[in-house]
Amino acid sequence: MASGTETQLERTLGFREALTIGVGTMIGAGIFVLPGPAAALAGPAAAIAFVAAGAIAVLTALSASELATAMPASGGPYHFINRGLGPVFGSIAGLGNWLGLAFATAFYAVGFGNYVAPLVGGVVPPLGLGALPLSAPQLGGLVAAVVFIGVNYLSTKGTGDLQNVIVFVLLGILGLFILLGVTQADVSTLRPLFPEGLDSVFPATALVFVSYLGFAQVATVAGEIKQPGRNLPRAMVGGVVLVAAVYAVSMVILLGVVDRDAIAGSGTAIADGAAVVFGAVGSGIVGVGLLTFGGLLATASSANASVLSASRINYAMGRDGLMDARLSAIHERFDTPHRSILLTGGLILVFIVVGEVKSLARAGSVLHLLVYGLLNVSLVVFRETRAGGYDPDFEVPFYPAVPVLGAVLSFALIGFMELPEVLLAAALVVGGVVWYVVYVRRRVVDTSALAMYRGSVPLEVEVPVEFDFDAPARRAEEVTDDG
Amino acid sequence: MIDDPTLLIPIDVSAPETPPQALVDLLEPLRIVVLGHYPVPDQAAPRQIQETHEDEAKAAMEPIVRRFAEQGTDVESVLVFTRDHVTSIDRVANEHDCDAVLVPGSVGDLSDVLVSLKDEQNMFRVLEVVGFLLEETDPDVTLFHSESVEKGSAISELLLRGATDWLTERGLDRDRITWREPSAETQTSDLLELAEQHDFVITGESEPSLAERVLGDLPDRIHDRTGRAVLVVRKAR
Repeated sequence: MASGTETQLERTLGFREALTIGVGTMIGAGIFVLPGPAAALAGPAAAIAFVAAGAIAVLTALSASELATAMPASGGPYHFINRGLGPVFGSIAGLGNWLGLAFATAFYAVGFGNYVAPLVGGVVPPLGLGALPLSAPQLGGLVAAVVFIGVNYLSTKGTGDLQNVIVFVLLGILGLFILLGVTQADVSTLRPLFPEGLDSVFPATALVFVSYLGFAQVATVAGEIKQPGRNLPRAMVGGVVLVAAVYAVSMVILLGVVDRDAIAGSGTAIADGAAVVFGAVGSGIVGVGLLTFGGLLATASSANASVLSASRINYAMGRDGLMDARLSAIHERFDTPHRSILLTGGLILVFIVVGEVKSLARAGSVLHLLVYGLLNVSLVVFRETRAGGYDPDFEVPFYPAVPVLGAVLSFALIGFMELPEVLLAAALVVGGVVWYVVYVRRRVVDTSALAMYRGSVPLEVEVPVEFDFDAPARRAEEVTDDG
Repeated sequence: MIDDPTLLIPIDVSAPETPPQALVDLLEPLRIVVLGHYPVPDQAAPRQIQETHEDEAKAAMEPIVRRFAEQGTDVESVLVFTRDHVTSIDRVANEHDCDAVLVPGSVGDLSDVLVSLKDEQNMFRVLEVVGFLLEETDPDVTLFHSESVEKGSAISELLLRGATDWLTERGLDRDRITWREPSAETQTSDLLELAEQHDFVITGESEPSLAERVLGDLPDRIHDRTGRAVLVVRKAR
């Protein structure tokens, strides 16, 4: 166990609580929104894409566990990168983490809109925002996003217990879907496994990676977890594995019960699947209702949680001098980082208006992949430089294979994004460097593990001191002078 | 042999504690280097902290250095802004050829001193420092040999008798010197208990001492347990 100064909080979270946080931030949006687009890209192999994305997430989850047990401070991946690689990469990671969450929130909100649209279809006339026509899901997403931003602006309390309930409700709904579906799925419809070719798995993996964002959230509460060296990695890795299994099995069942062409591209594919699965037991409408409810719940809770996560990153960057601390100031009455929430919220609304669901998902993924890649690099730096005070309770197995593979795969997956997202990642790197040059460089001294190792941070500075009372004889004069 | 024994006194100038007058009196025969160290937090450069806190740090050091200077002690002062004061203490101790390092603390009325003789290499150096300090002053001395394996060990007894003779020849009154042997199982805790019963502790650098740490952890443990000042005599470098 590291020093006692790391946290003032009591260690109250056990393995189950930590796992719930991990699963809670992941479960939901991915499986409720992405099966349609993923099936369109890769067919039944979309299930493989979910597993592959989960595997990449597991590698990073292991690295994040080690880093979190070494320095459990608020800020998550951004913090580890800033401490390991310094403020240049810290700027890139902070902005990436923050904007990535904003894109992901926009994606969840539009996903929510997808589920709302059929419920209110026909009631609301099509609207446009100036020259921009808005689809029904976008409109629903905008309304939902405004609500989530408002809720977070007004209070951060009371979402914790609710989150637990949501996790179990979602797992229950998906579990029921899987149980009923497993007897009905027609395996022959899964052939051919790779209708779009083997290569199609990679872009599909890149698309669905967004489903796993948030496993690193567990790291942000590392200081409150009992026996973190044991429970943290188990919760993080276990969460990813559990979620990956649920996603992959649901995907297989979905394509086993409905024709791929019928759901390709649909934002509510799983509800279409539910109509068939539950229809076989005579209650298709119940199934659609349940899964629609699940879709609304999942996208809403994911969106709600990421608004707050994004503002936490603003806070951590402000604390480290990488961003103006006034941005993360706490509202005196509502006790929330209101400015940060407004800024993040504004971006989310813009993203909803200009992006469509797949590009929002990919934008969220690509920025996080960049961050996760850097996180793995940071771990290697901490280990190799034997940074002073780096003493994690948990150490990744098979070092250096795990972090190296985690970094390489994260960066490689960026290559399978569409051109606009690759450009977005590149722009973020450039933007991070520019931000460092114009804002951070003057304010922050690089004291990262890397800088220490390069010797560019002096350990100490010695100052000459000369006091003017060398001899006892002198003292007499001084005493009289002083009066 | 130590000709001109030099003592390093590290002071955390961000929370300075002035050494008690009794200790200042006792240490008068030694050449003294007062090392003020000011902590540099993780996200800052030493230069930055120096710019903002140099005056404050010097002001905190001044009265402490003044005390020794007024006593007529040969005193030097060094101020560092450091990320790791242990490393800085070690460096300054080496650069200034310090023979001993003080762990500052309380000394009560300084009527008795515990001297822990541990390893043979260092023993004469410890005794010499004791000689320097106690020639001119009058606290009682308790010698303690922590290496004896069995109570009543002949080697331990001869060693303690020899040390007593050595100090007597040096000019200390034999009546001032007593000695204790530890029992086998409880050496460290015996030392800690004895330390509690004395006003000041003089010991050799502890073994095994970590590669880059001057003091090893025993003096710190004595200090933490008793709050007493501990003077640690370093090995010949």
